[in-house]
Amino acid sequence: MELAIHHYRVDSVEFKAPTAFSAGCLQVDPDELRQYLQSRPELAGFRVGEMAWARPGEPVRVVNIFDVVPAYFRLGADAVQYPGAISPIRPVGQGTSAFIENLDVLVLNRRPNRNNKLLDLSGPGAQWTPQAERFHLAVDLEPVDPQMSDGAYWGALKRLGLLTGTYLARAASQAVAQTTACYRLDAVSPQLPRVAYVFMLASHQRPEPGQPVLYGDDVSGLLPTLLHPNEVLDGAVVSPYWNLGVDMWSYQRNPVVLELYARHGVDLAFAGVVATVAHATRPARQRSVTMAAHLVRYHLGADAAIVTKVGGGIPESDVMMTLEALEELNVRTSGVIWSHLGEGGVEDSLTAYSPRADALVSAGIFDDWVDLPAMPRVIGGEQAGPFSDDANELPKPASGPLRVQFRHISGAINQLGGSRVSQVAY
Amino acid sequence: MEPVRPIRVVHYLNQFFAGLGGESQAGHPPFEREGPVGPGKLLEDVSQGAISVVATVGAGDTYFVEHPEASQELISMVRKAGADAFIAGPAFSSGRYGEAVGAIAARVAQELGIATLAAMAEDNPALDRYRRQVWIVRTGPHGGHMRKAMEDIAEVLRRMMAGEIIDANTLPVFPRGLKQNRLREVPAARRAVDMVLAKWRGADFVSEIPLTLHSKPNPAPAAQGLPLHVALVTDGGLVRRGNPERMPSGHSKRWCRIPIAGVSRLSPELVEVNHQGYDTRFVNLDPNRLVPLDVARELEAEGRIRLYPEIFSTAGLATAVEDASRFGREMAGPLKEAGVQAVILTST
Repeated sequence: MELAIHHYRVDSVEFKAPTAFSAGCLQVDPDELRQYLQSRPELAGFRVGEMAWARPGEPVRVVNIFDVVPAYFRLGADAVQYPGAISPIRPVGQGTSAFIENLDVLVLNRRPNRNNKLLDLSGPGAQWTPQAERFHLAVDLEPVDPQMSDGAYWGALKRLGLLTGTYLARAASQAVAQTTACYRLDAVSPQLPRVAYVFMLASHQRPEPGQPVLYGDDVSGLLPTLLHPNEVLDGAVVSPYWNLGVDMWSYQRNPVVLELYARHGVDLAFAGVVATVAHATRPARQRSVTMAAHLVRYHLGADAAIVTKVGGGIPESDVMMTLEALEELNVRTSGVIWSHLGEGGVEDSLTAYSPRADALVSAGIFDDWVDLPAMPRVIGGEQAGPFSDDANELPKPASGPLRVQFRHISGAINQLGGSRVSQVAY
Repeated sequence: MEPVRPIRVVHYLNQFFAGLGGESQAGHPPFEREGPVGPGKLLEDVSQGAISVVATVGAGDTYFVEHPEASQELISMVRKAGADAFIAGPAFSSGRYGEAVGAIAARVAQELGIATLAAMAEDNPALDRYRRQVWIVRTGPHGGHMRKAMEDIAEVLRRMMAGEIIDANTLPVFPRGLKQNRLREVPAARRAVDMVLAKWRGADFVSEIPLTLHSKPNPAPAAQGLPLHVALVTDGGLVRRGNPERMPSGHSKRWCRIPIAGVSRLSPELVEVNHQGYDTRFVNLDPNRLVPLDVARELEAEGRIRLYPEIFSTAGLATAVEDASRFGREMAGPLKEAGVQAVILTST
């Protein structure tokens, strides 16, 4: 399986017809984009809202962010985009694609939600997230029927992001690519350790029937399975609606997959990806962990594995048991895991521990607090939040000073390992 | 170049290091002196002009421990001096002095918000009580280590005043046992690959989330004999009616005793439940559902058990394991002393 991704790096953006990419500048015709989106059957019953740019360093705060999506488009006459989500189900992972580097599509949620995130493009909040260094096109969507269920609305928001991203990257693909990255698992020296990636796609803590995660499947019945890393990079996997410390950008531009690819043949051999989910019951967890460990050890023949999680506290048990099962099979492991603030001590960082989990990398304390100053310009609504677990807390004026948890800063807490924020003991 | 203004420090000492006398003066009330006294002079000395001790305050060790109001008086003295920083000790291994040093430093840090350091030895019993609240400089066990202690205090204070991050890995301070978010050099995904490769090669690596393993006690052998001496214990938040002891409903730091001598069964007239972690309506209707005193009394009437005259109780919700372990040790003391052979612990 071979995937070539053409990179188009953006260093300026503007609204101007026609939509095109040239010499680092992305210009977008907002009317054409809106027309395209409104013409799509996935978005029937919705009104596409205003669009706005947010540039790195600007005194801008984007609030009520539901998802962060890369601008990515698969090239070719019969190429499908995000199969099962916005296209029929056909193979991905092989072929040529266009990717706009340094740009995100920010999908805004019109409904208040504790998991909505915000992004300051300058000021102290910007230091904590790699997303503050990129350009952003913010888009949003309003259901014609205000009574529409959250699940249906989120499904449309998810597709809005994917459709916008493909629209932009398709326009860019008309230009000559600046660089091309090739992804292929070539045979490498047998002396190198074979490293696998156990990619937890979703958590059954909060199942969302019908959400497209793996080739359009909602993974409610998923047993561990093998994926080629190119399938991840090429749109077979879509992040779940529940965006706790994850987003579409990090699912597709998966930092573990990209890191293992970058070092394939250098100091390791990338053995492959095992897709799993976190479970709600012990037998289901046990079954999944056992099968995932077998896939890593006996099918991928891995010497080492990296495990990432998704969801909240219970999947920490899935991670611990997966690490145990792998170490039991003589596979050396490390895990990327967030931690809880608790009472602030190092002892109460996780809900589950294992003596075999002796190589954990911190994705940060997700519920530690951070103070953000007022911001002159806001995109995404007058109100933001709520930002605490207090059921009585109301949304707050979005431009004012805000006290938020780290997880509310888009990209700061990334459960797949895309951020530099980390728990440090002192 | 302008000469750098020295750091103005208030220094806390006990009666002994202040030169007032030994154990005979341990009941000395709080005192204050202008400028440095005893070890404070050494601190100025080793700092080579970087530190100026503007006032020395203190109290007798026994006085401080026995008079809770002493710390308020001392805080006022420190506030009055208007200094940049506060240094308490070093207390070395001395337990009462360590308690005073830790307590006063923690209060100064919290209430005055100035740079604060305590100093003591690793085996000082006050260390674990105060390390989370204030930076504590690591010293040797006794006064023979005074010069080194003062050099270390001066160094840590200088860095603290310069706004540097205090790091227990590189400075002579005890880790606080706390955590915070910081930015590392590279993203977590790259560190995870680095770490697993180090592990595979057998090279050194340090987990970023230290392992917390709670000891698993072995169960005691089954109790023998008739009648069996039994106590009833619960973490379900049982309290006396009206909660006269103001027991918390979670995050517990203490437990309470509920007398049951002569009581045949629990009733809402006698007890209630104060616990935030479960639906308490059913046990409030019939508290024997939480602690089965009614059935235990029946067994007692049959001559099979003999009940301890108190129920021990706490609210187990979100209670730190360290606190819960301490409750267990504290409860086990009187029970063992009374010859209790078994405990029925009903949890929720």
